[in-house]
Amino acid sequence: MTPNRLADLERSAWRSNFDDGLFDLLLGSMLLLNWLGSVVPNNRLLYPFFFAIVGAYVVVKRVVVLPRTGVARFAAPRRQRKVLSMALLLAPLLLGLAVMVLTSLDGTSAAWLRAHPIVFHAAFPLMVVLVFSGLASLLEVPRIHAIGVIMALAFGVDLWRDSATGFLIGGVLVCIPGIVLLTRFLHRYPPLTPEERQHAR
Amino acid sequence: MPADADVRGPVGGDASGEAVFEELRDLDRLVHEPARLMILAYLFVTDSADFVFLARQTGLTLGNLSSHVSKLEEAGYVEVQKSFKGKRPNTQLRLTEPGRKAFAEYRERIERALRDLPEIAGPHDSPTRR
Repeated sequence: MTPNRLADLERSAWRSNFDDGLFDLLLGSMLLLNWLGSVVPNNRLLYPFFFAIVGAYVVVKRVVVLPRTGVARFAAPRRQRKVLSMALLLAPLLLGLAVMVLTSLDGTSAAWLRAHPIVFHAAFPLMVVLVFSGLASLLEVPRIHAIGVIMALAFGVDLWRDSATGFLIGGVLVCIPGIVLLTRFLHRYPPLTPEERQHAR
Repeated sequence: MPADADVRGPVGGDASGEAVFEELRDLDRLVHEPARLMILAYLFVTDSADFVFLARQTGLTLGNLSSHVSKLEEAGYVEVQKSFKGKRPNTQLRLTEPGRKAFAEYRERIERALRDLPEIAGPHDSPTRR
């Protein structure tokens, strides 16, 4: 077993964390929620759904997935990558917040942005692709690249064509593999029997 | 090395042949068992893991895994830490320093032995077929 094979073993053990399809379902649901936002008259009605989706993700992961797959603590480099990926997800939010604050303080830049919407329209989908590409590389889960592209296209269609259809199609496209993976996962890893639980100490 | 010399076994073999089999003879039998080797490999690449995780990754049944872990624990290669996560009991397995050393040593030893083993050429093979 060469060091490379050991690295492969570690990578495959790590990637098994994403075999349940929940991450895909979480992101796909967010896209579908965006689409719903364009359908319902009041966007605020959807806020509870946002928290419900995130809450459901956490509960299903803890109650359904982890008892079936078990838990491993990975070595420091892997944990650092995980922290970096969280930071990468938070970075666009902070950047967006900073832009909002700066443009509200400085009227000319706000006016300039309004006069040149193409800057925002191009920058936002590009940022989505970059963030998810970084996330896919850090987490070493290649399908996140594809999810990033679908999300960027959905946002692009919304910004350029003023149509929420991209969110609907994108949401369905991301959710379908998630459902397939979750179904396969539940089939492959049934809950432990009381006897098995005994052995698991 | 002549073609007939690389198929000799430990008995009557030359010094390098004996060295190869010495490596194999000295392998740590506790680590050499495939199920235990898998367990050690997974614990080598993680900081710690619980029983269910190891069972899922290795494909061993929990009963089988438990018996192999007991042997590794007895040898001092694996440390079993029991705690509670909320109300649920949680057992984490971790490779000890001697366990880590034994696994690394086993890898080196088996790699060396396999590298030095004769090519797959029996006494009936002619040199032209190799």
